[in-house]
Amino acid sequence: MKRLLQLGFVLGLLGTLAGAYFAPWFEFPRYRSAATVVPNGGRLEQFEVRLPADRIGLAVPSSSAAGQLEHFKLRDVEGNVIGLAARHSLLLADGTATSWLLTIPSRGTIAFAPSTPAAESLESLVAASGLVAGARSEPEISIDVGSKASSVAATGEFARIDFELVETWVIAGLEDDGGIRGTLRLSTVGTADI
Amino acid sequence: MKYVLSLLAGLLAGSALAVAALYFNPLTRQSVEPAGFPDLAFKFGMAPAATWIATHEEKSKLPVVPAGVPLLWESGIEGSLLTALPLHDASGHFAALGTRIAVPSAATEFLRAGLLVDEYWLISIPGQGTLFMHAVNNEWPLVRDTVVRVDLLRRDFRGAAVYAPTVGPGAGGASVAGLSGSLAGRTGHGRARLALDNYSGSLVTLTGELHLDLAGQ
Repeated sequence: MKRLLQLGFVLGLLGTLAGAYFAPWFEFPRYRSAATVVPNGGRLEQFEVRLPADRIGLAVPSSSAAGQLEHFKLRDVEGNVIGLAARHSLLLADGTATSWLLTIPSRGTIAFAPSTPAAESLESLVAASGLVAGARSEPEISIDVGSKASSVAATGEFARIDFELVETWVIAGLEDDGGIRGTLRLSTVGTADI
Repeated sequence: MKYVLSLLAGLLAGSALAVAALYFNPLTRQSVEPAGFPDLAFKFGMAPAATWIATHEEKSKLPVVPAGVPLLWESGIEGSLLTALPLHDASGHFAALGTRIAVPSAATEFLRAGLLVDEYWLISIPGQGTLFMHAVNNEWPLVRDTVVRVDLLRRDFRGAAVYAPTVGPGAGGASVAGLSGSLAGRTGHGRARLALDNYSGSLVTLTGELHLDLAGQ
């Protein structure tokens, strides 16, 4: 009986320590990447944000008109929510610089910077299209904002890959508060940094 | 029967000793202390009044701000935390706009590493540009003093505490990269410091500091 007590003690001690070390405490489902190879090299993968459903929130500081922050849930092309996205628009001396942060917990994170600040913001491009609050657009309006953004830092499975990002707003209309209704497409082309 | 009971008693005693060892494990308390005079330092708070947006799956001890903001309940982002908040300089003036996305790390284990969280920051400084920071933080000391000690063990909060959670991804702490404006192309390291004044089931009194050192200034 004493032997059993000792055996149980050792098993309990080692089993708990092994569990603390080997147990997968956090795992995110890894959805299949719907990527395609582009003709001139690279790997195209598209992500989507359905608006307004995937808009988490807009933050505009009251003490500064220098910039604004938008946050979204990020979907793959099959509609699964796979990550989070942050879009920072910052007014600089030579235009509006829009930086993106795409975080996909099961895969990694990419931070994008604009190659050149854009002369026109998304808001001014939407205003120029003639759409007003509460109105629908048929057919949908497609707006590419700014120039291609390039990845500056990446983690996880995105590390050691150079990415380019194009943000395309496919606008079906505007909400009563001026918010966009439609789809934001984030097209990335990755090239292995060998 | 008495043999089974004997084995069970041994199992329970062994497990209890292992849990106690994990609770007091000094290996899971390692961190990179913030430097004394960083190039950039920002302060932030986690109270509702100090954040523009804070959302998670509602299991976190942090408040959801504003009311009605979408929760992060989908399986692909479950456990993540997104915060948008103003960052202040040492004198308390508004200095930058920040987004913080925190994701529990698959590298978490409780023998040597602790409760690891990958924390991604996008920091936009008006007139200067935007920075990206990736920190690997060990949140175990904070969780142990609050959720484990107070919520699970029903003991009193031990009092105001300061934590230096940054343990990576590199030896120097968090990695920092400049994205735009005058910060474009610059790289460096960062560290975080967290302070908790009080705890009674919510982390609203949690405040933090980010210390960033950039090369090429």
